[in-house]
Amino acid sequence: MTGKQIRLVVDDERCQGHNRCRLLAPDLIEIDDLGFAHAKGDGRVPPEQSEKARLAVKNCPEFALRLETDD
Amino acid sequence: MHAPASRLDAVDLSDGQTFARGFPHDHFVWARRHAPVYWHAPTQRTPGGEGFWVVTRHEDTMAVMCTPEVFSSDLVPPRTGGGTGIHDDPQAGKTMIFMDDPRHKRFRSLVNKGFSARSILALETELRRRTTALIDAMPEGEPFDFVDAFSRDLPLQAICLLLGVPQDERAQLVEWVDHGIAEANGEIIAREDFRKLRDYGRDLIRRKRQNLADDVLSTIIQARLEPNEEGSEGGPLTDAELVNFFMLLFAAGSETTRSAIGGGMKALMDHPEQLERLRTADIAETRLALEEILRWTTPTIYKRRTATRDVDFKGHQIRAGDKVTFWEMSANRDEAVFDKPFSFDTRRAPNLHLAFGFGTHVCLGASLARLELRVAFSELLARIASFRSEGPIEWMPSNRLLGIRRMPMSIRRKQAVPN
Ligand code: HEM
Ligand code: SF4
Repeated sequence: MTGKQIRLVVDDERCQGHNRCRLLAPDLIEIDDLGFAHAKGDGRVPPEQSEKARLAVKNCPEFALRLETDD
Repeated sequence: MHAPASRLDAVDLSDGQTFARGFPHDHFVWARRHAPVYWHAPTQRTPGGEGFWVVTRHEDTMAVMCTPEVFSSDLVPPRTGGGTGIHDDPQAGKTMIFMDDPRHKRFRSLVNKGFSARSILALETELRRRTTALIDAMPEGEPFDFVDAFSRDLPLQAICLLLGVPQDERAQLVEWVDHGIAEANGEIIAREDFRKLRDYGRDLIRRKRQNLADDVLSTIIQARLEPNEEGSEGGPLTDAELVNFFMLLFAAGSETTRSAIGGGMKALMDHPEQLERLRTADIAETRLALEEILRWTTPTIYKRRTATRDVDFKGHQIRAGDKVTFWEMSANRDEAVFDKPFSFDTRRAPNLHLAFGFGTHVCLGASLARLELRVAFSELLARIASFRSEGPIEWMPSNRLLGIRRMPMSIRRKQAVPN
């Protein structure tokens, strides 16, 4: 069984630009000019990045990040 | 597991004087290693002869903050007060910082409408104007007090801007808050000034209702929740709730930011090579530097919660009703999370400091505080060629806020560039 596709999602309403996610998962997150986070591309998390994605989710002080599973 | 009690008892964390010469780091380095969670015995200063738990590590501090259903900010009966200080606060349950979810969430989602990072950024131009005026008024080549000349005013101006306090009323307000902070004895703003400020707040809210404008206070006055959204009964905030919120902004947003600006200035003067580097830093590097200033200064030293039930925490039996304190300043020097925690390093990345808290109560004003810091340091560095410390800092004798009372320094301006 291959794992399901995981996506990293940023909740724009919650993000306050603490910038941690970008430092913890630089390949998955970009920061715009105003300092807010956005998932890179379509947010897909490759398997080798899933640990970093989890770390970013866990360390967002605003709980603005979540992982979603495509089905 | 058990540390010699004498070693722990030697440092009385309930005594403001313990912090009069700065934070007792030695004690916490030792505690993080040998007694990361410990019971602080009652002292002469602990209310009701009651002791409290002390949580010192980063990981455990996060755990407490992320489990609000067990570690409450509200009033936990049979207490008649609660909140986030060692002393029970009668305001518990009346203001968002002393509420638990879901009531807290209802409140927070209402005020969030005015506090999004984007509405905060709209204040930048005006804040910059105010900042440069303060810098231009600093004396050159002679010692002056940085708190008096700069770090006191800026945070209060920022809150006034946010609330849409008319320009000609700001000076009076600034004086009350400032006087209140200076006189405060264990409280964050002294009682008498607290009353004046509250009366003013009531009046301002009444005037805003009649004359809604493009400011955060007007946004919050108009905000209403749909019934059921976040599990609430819905509706707008009441006047009493609005006044409490108005007060909370001054209590939470003035002295804290003041310490971060003052402490950041001091840290940069102590590390001139980092100060010079920051002059030419890009925005990403500047943001990192501000985070390090927040970690380094950690303006609020500890928080308290109340256990809602018996719980086994890191091998300790915490009982329902016990007071549990966690020490952000200790967490922010935790060797397990920060490489060389006692070095100030403006390039530290990532910087998982807890200066703004974490989770449900994470600082509502974080974006505003960051904006203030960014504007303050970018303008200071752009206008001033050299900064010099002119003597030791005087700290406030308080365990709640690592407040700077006086900071003597002197400056030389940059030569005006002829155009
Ligand atoms: C560098 C400056 C600041 C620091 C270090 C700071 C720190 C904190 C911390 C640690 C908390 C969490 C309290 C808890 O967990 O019990 C908090 C909450 C809060 N802060 Fe700040 N703060 C700062 C500036 C501000 C400003 C400028 C404002 C607003 C003008 C503000 C408004 C608030 C409010 C309203 C809360 C309560 C949030 C809630 O309960 O959901 N703070 N702050
Ligand atoms: S850590 Fe959270 S709040 Fe900070 S930038 Fe990332 S998503 Fe936004």
